[in-house]
Amino acid sequence: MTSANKSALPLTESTYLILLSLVSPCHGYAVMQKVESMSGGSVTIGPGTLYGALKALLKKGWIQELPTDEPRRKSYRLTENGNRILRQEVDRLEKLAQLGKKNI
Amino acid sequence: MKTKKRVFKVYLAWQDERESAWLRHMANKGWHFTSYTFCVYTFVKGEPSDVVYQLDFNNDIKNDHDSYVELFRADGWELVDTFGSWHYFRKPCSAGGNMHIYTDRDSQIKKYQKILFFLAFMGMYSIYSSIHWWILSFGDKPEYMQNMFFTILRLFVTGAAVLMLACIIMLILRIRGLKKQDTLSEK
Repeated sequence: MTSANKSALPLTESTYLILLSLVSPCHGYAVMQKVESMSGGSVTIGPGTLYGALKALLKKGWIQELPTDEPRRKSYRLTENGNRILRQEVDRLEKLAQLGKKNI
Repeated sequence: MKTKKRVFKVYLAWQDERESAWLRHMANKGWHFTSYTFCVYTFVKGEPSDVVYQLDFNNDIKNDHDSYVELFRADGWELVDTFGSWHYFRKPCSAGGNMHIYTDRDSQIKKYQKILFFLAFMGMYSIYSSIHWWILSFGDKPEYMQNMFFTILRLFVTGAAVLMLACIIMLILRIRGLKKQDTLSEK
């Protein structure tokens, strides 16, 4: 784990769910739909928030744009680095959740 | 009966929420926003309806304009007009779904930071020139400063500098206010 990755955690709830929905490739609007359905409708991501988040994640190299013949509907997928970050975050959350369960 | 009207109204960079509330209010009265240029809003008359307006500030689209607009369109938002880096989107309330384009505090803060950064850059230059010109005007004036045109230009730039400074301060307060809200509202 590099120190740059370490300081990337914790992820915001939006970032976490966006990364999670990009485990398999999908286009921007599909990310919005997946996040909503994964969270049982409790989290929705607006297009302004999503556009900025996708740009930032591309810049960080956590996701990549996939080649497409439809430039209007860009598709994305996690990179290896993004996958690693996501796993680290899941581990971190799991430890915290276990700690909570043990002590309540 | 008039079917089109222009309204002059000033909203500054930090007042985008008030501005969108006003556009919604106009739509409720049957005046539907069509374009914006330098504080002049154009409306066309139609059936009164409840339409939500949202403003995005994005100066980082470059070759990505189509996919940017498409992302909003897919979520039910129509791009009404673009002025500089400001994009006016709208969505009829009846469409349902999300009525905000920014849904978490982090991204709201980032939007205002983008505006702040842009204005600080522009503001710095106009503040610098106006101070520079006022100082120069007290000494032996260079020849180019002695005509009427220049005096008007100087007043204009000074006015712009004051406005930008006000915007910068208000944006900083806005960002601080958002950062203080410790609960993240997801809706």
